Amino acid sequence: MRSAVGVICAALMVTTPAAGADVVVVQRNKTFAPSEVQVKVGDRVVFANEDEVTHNVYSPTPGLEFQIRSQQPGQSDAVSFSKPGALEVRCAIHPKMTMRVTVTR
Amino acid sequence: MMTSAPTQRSVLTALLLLGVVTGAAHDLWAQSRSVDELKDRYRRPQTVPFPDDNSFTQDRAELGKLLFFDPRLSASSLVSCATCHNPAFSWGDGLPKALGHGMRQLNRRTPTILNVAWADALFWDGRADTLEAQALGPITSPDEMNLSSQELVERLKRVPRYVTLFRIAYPDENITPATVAKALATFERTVVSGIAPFDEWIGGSESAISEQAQRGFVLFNTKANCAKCHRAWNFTDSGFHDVGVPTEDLGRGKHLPKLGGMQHAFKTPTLRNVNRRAPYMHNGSVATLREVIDLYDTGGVARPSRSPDIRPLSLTSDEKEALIAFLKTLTSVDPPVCLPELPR
Ligand code: HEC
Ligand code: HEC
Ligand SMILES: [Cu+2]
Repeated sequence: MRSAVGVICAALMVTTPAAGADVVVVQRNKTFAPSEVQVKVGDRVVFANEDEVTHNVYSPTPGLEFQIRSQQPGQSDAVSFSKPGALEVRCAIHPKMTMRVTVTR
Repeated sequence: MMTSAPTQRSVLTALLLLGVVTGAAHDLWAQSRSVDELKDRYRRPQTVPFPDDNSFTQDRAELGKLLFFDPRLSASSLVSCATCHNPAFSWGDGLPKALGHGMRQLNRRTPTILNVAWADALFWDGRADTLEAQALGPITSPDEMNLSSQELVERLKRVPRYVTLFRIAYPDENITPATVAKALATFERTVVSGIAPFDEWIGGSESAISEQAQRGFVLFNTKANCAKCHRAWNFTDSGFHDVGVPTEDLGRGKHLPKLGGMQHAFKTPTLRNVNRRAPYMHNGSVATLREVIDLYDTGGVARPSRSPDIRPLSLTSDEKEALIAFLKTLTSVDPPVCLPELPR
């Protein structure tokens, strides 16, 4: 089955009304903050790179995988979650960068 | 007011601004900062990190050193860790690709173990998380030392002095593959690059490195964009990038096949003692520092996986020389490493 997770460009998000709520996770000093968030199905998590280096956010969690582009400093991307579950989120470039997104109904 | 001969610092500040104007416009962080602020990012740490479940003791480090230099950790009794991680070559082997058991050529170049205490992941592709998890790999690999972990333990138990030393270093744990790995890891964490002219300059000794090298430092942080990945005192972000080196090797992409940016991505190596560690890159394919700079100047192989931080740089030949002069200041003159007397 294909991943049910959609990826939406942050620029788009600002101009279109959001269906669910947005939760912001920033990347700073090679860490995600906060390191854990809870959202509801339909909500979006905005991953914002507020660091000085490039990051590349993805989730390897089976069935809930997603990946966004390599983010340059200052870029942000929103990910919406259409299925409940607990996702491990990582940065492909920096293996110690990990966090958790829990999606509930 | 600075009207007459400008001080060294104002020259550098001017250069820094120039670098921003001429080509490093994206490096917002560098724009607003003076050289002093840049230098602040390069201070050495005061202590070496050790994990809680394998904390430092002198006995562990000394035992680890014996094991590191002991060829009996290989099936042939000819290959030790130090055969490839040779302190006389700044803990590498000086070869494009390593030679293992039976002189078999491995796929990759031997990386230095300098400053591995600070690594977030090990190997060129990051496939090991800790030094403890990494250490048994080369011993049991048929291509490297080719010794089963059972035979490893049996051999060590036959040497009475090893039995004693393990008992002292790991009192409750005995000789096991795990304690061999822990002792090796403890020793490896003590392998730290020494004070280089660059560190003296960072510490305030203005004349410790040449003016050309100082220009190289500014370029490294601005127009040449090197510090995007080669960060802080150890000159690495512990990250994985495709920098455009010609290669068939997928690197980290082999473990993360779905991630476009990880194809041909390798760990950013430290640049400490770099002029003593040619040839360069994961496959030893680049012979000299000059060729490394030339590769970055062109941007290397433009493929979809190439990092967005790699792009043609339009460096002048003066700028290339300055970068090389700077890289050479990262080499420390260390006291010779004494070979341990191995127990019989
Ligand atoms: C035959 C040569 C050879 C021998 C012997 C050898 N290594 Fe290595 N070592 C390598 C190569 C090649 C790599 C890189 C392999 C890769 O990345 O796929 C490596 C990688 C490493 C790394 C990772 C460094 C980093 O920055 O990621 C460590 C640590 C290491 N070796 C320690 C050891 C220890 C400890 C031993 C002895 C138990 C040992 N090696 C024996 C060739 C060797
Ligand atoms: C996008 C991140 C990135 C940037 C920017 C970058 N490097 Fe690298 N550097 C790496 C990686 C990753 C490698 C290893 C690549 C490989 O083996 O394929 C490397 C390898 C090297 C090596 C070889 C070291 C060795 O032990 O093999 C040198 C020297 C070097 N870089 C210097 C520089 C200089 C100088 C610049 C600026 C002109 C620069 N790098 C810019 C990530 C980067
Ligand atoms: Cu990252």
